[in-house]
Amino acid sequence: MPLPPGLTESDFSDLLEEFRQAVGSEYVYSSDEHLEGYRDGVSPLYQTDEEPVPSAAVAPANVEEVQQVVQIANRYRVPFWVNSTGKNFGYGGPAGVVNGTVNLDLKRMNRILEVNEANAYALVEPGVSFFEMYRYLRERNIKLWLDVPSPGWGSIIGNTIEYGLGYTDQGQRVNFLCGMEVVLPNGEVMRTGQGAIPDGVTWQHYRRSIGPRIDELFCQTNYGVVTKMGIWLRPEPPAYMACSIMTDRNEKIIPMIDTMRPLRLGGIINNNATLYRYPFVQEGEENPDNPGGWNNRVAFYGLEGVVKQHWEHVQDAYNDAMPGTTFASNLYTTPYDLDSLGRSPDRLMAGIPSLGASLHKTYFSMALPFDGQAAWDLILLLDEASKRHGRRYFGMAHHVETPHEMVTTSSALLKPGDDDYNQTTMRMIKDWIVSTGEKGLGPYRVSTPYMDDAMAQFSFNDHRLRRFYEELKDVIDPNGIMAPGKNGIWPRHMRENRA
Amino acid sequence: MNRASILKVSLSCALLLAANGAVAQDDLVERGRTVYADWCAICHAPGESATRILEERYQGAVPAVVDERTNLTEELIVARVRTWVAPQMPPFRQSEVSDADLEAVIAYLQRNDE
Repeated sequence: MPLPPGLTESDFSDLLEEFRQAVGSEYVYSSDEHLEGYRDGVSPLYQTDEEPVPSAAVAPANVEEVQQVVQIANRYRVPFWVNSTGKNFGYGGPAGVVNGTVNLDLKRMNRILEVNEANAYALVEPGVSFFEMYRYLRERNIKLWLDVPSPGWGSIIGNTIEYGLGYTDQGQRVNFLCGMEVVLPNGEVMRTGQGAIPDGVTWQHYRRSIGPRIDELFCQTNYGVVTKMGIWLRPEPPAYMACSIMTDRNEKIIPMIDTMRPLRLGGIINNNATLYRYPFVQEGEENPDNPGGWNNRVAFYGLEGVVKQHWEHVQDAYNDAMPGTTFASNLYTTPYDLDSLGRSPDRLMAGIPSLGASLHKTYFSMALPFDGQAAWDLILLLDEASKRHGRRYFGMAHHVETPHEMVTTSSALLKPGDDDYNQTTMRMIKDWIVSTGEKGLGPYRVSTPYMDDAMAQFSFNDHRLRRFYEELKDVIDPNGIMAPGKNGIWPRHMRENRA
Repeated sequence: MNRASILKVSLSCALLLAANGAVAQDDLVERGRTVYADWCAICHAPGESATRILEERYQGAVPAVVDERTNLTEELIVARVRTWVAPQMPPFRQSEVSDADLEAVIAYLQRNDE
């Protein structure tokens, strides 16, 4: 494995010894065998000369050990990359952007510190996965539901601060984040919001302090290591209805979205509703003459009568706008037998984690206006860009995370060991990023090979936003050790590395 | 102590050691069962995603549910757990499945081997 940038073999040996003293020798990894799991095996760069490979990994057990690791990294000017569970593979594995980065693995920090059923919140450490929290709630018969993404082995903190989306009425989960503890790049610990008051009693109740709310400075950035986070949960509703609205043609996405918009804006549909290709066909295997239609998945939570009434209203709206639409629904009421949902797609909208994601796809997601024509134009644009690389694109998924916008997720296949195919995939995704940027659209989230390309799209006034991020970076992290290159934010001494 | 007594004591010690060994192996298998339930069953339980893939691949030639298999070698299990070799299975790091956990999983998966 490579050395960290700027370190000699001797320095590196000393660094590892200091890490061992901080966290214990069994939690410092530097052998090829042990570091394999810290590489990004789903990157198009995996096992190529361009792959950023970690030099070592260190897994602290608590905030004090995180502080020590960060202080050691400062002394050696060694870059480190943080992962909580490192398993959201659609956006890449746990490896960083810079070759030789040390991986700071937070999986051992896996305590659920508090669940308050009356006030519907939890306080967790970064190693806690959605599966673990779900089990914790069910085993104790705590009647709270948790919003979850599709890969349930992900970290609640990691996924939320990367702006991961769920499927419930708390699907834009970052808006339900309440209070953080952060180890800053100089090793100091800070608590945000009401947590800044010693023994503050409203840390997980009220999201601000005096002054601006700064939690999102630690989302999708490289300004600190989040070691605790509060997350609001939702009380178990008396009734839950999971519904599908299906069309048979791809272009019907236009009236489908336009029909949904007033329902979502008006609060009839309240969850992070999704549109998926229907019937599902693997990328690359679609029939270009009829690639299929869409399944609009929506959910209703509340009193049984109200839930039923909302669903009737929604069906009427779609029947009026789109005759021939087909519908399906399942109603669940308390006492819930959640195990009866089995592998049903109804699980996710009830906050039951599963593991449906497949490896070797790379996701590219962007924000769109909540508008049918915009969604259709994007499909055509990405298809045109894909054709330039010998591929086709017919749309993948749309998440209506707020009543005002959608996040569109596109994916492209990777083939393990097929460098030509994977290089083409990478060029195509970079083309997608530039082509959409030229139309005034920006990515919401990308994996490491595309971070500079994504940030480059936000170029208003000579990249003033990026320069602002980097001015902050230079102040908060003067040695530039934390996750250099994360989402295109580079420390001063590494800006020549920008792709 | 006469020769018969020495033989009796030696035999008792050997049986005790063997019994302890069996208990230790049983404990290891039980630990492996727990680790498997925590980390592997998410995908490898009956009906779950990896099991469905393996059903298609093996077409009944061997069980698709991994913990029903009786021919998994240590090398194969280690490779699957620690490397990116399997097309649809990511590696698990030491911080997730330690070497001791992995040893226990191997014992659990090999508990019914001939």
